[in-house]
Amino acid sequence: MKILVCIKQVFCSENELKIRPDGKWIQETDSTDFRMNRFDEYALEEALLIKETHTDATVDVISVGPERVKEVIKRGLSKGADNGIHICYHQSGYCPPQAVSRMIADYAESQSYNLILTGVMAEDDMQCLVGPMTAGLLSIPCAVSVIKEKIDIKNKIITVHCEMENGKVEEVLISMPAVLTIQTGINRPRYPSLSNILRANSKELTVVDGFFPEEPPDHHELLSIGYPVTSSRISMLEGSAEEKALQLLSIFHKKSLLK
Amino acid sequence: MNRQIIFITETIQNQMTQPVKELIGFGASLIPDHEYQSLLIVPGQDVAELAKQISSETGIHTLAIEHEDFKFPNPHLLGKILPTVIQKSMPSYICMNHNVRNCHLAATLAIRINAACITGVESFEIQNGYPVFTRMMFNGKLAAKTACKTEPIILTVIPGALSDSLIPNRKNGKGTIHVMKTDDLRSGYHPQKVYETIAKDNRLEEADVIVSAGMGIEKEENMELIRKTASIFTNAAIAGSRIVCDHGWLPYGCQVGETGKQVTPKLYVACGISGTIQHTAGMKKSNCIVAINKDPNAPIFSIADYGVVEDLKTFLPILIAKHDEQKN
Ligand SMILES: Cc1cc2nc3c(=O)[nH]c(=O)nc-3n(C[C@H](O)[C@H](O)[C@H](O)COP(=O)(O)OP(=O)(O)OC[C@H]3O[C@@H](n4cnc5c(N)ncnc54)[C@H](O)[C@@H]3O)c2cc1C
Ligand SMILES: Nc1ncnc2c1ncn2[C@@H]1O[C@H](COP(=O)(O)O)[C@@H](O)[C@H]1O
Repeated sequence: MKILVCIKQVFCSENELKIRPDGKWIQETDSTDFRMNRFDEYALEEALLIKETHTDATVDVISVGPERVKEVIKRGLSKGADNGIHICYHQSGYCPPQAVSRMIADYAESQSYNLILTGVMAEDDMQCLVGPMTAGLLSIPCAVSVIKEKIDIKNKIITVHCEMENGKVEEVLISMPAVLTIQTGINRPRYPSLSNILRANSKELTVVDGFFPEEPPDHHELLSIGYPVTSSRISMLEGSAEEKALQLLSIFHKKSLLK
Repeated sequence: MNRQIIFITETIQNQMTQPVKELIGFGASLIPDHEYQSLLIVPGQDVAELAKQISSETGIHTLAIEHEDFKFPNPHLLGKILPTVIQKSMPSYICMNHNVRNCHLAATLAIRINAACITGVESFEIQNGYPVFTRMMFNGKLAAKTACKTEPIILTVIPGALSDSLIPNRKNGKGTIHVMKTDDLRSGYHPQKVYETIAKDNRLEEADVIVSAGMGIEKEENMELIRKTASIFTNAAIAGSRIVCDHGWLPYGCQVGETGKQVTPKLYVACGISGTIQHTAGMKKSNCIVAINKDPNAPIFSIADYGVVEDLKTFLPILIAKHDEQKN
């Protein structure tokens, strides 16, 4: 069984994000921190767990982006993926989901994967689209927000449990090959082992040139990004930590909520 | 020529999962002169009656699409059936409520009919005659404005994007109802059942105060700080973000948000929670929200009543100590 896991490198959004002068993306500097998209950590772990039970399985990790995304591919290898594929897309900034999924689907088609895993959502663009768009391009089924799966290799059927809102779950049978978008909590992502880190560092990546379509198939344009307007009702407490604590206690006291 | 808007609703066992009125209102406001025709698509196993009911309530034309595999949500099959329906009417917009399954449907349609697709739309404005959509990015920290160059435009709209009051009074009276049976179509996606996972536990519903932990607590030991903070109140419970529950630091019954519980306490204290829409969907209706976060730009501050920019590891002990001092 051949498994492909799509992993994205994202900005550490807990840190300060500076907007580029043209207003269209985040300003990158030498000290900008990146990490693997949180949801993709779970997708990769799920692939590695599948490989533990289906010992003939291979796990490839793929990432679309500039040179720096090699770091997350290496991290994927150091957790135990077999091969790393870098689709080089130099244009920095927002890359629309139609373009990303087209690049992933083109590569996937040439390799006939049985299973493609993505995260439910990328923490940066938050679109929840690349997984199902890739499935659409390959004309294979997709299940989103998967929190459990059971693979029946013989009959080429996967039983998936897909999370819905308010604690509801939908159980679905889908045929293979398929794309699953993985939700957090499905497993506990592992840390890389030292031997795998060494192996990952010496491993050659497959590098594919991303394409730059003259007329991008995306139909939309990101005009600008900016800080959202905050609610007018908020009052930010000022002063030292002690003063803020006292202010909070007085608010709680007025509402008669304290012991 | 009149423009077209298609709305798509979702059903589980022939019941709508989200109200459509607000969605229809949103669609209407996309076309400022209101010169448009609309069609509401209702997929389900046996939804002709439901379609009739919505049609008479809203005056909108409806199309019930029936298939045994539509008993539960099935974006895969719907994505196969809809392109022919859509191409017949050449709509300007295709609107649905935002959830992950509708993102799946939106993605499938975008590929099949080669259309623009924007998910998680919070608001829009018309600039130079074209709509510009606002949606969140970077875990909710930044808002992005996106313009579309072609039609149709497929949208998933966050509930609450527009209030019911904006729904225009449509005078066109009764809409027509069509039923399309598609049982002969096969797909590789067969829903089996929908089940509930959250255990019945009313602690969060009954508490006056909820002290909630996000990844800002950094490690499990710091859950103790959350418990101690909760103990200064007379009737408090503790809760957390999804990631805190994923780490096993709290049971899933304590998860607040879109996929967890919806809570409305008198006071919600968000400690080290970034405040993405998936979390705030479960707590933004709380009476009073206090956010403690070391990042002054954390999105949680955009819905809070009181904001404290501090490191919770140092701030919560001070809060607890000051409370103890005052009590004695
Ligand atoms: C389909 C779907 C459904 C989802 N459903 C839910 C849901 O129901 N509930 C939910 O919660 N999430 C849900 N999520 C996940 C959600 O998108 C976020 O990933 C999650 O809520 C983030 O959790 P967090 O705020 O605890 O962590 P983070 O986003 O990591 O934020 C941590 C915050 O803590 C602050 N911080 C860090 N250190 C400190 C410190 N020492 N002192 C003070 N502040 C500090 C940081 O500034 C940051 O703002 C869902 C996601 C998807 C895609
Ligand atoms: N540039 C990329 N490279 C590899 N995988 C990606 C990329 N962008 C998105 N993905 C995958 O698609 C998922 C959903 O992303 P999105 O549709 O952008 O929210 C992510 O969790 C990744 O698994």
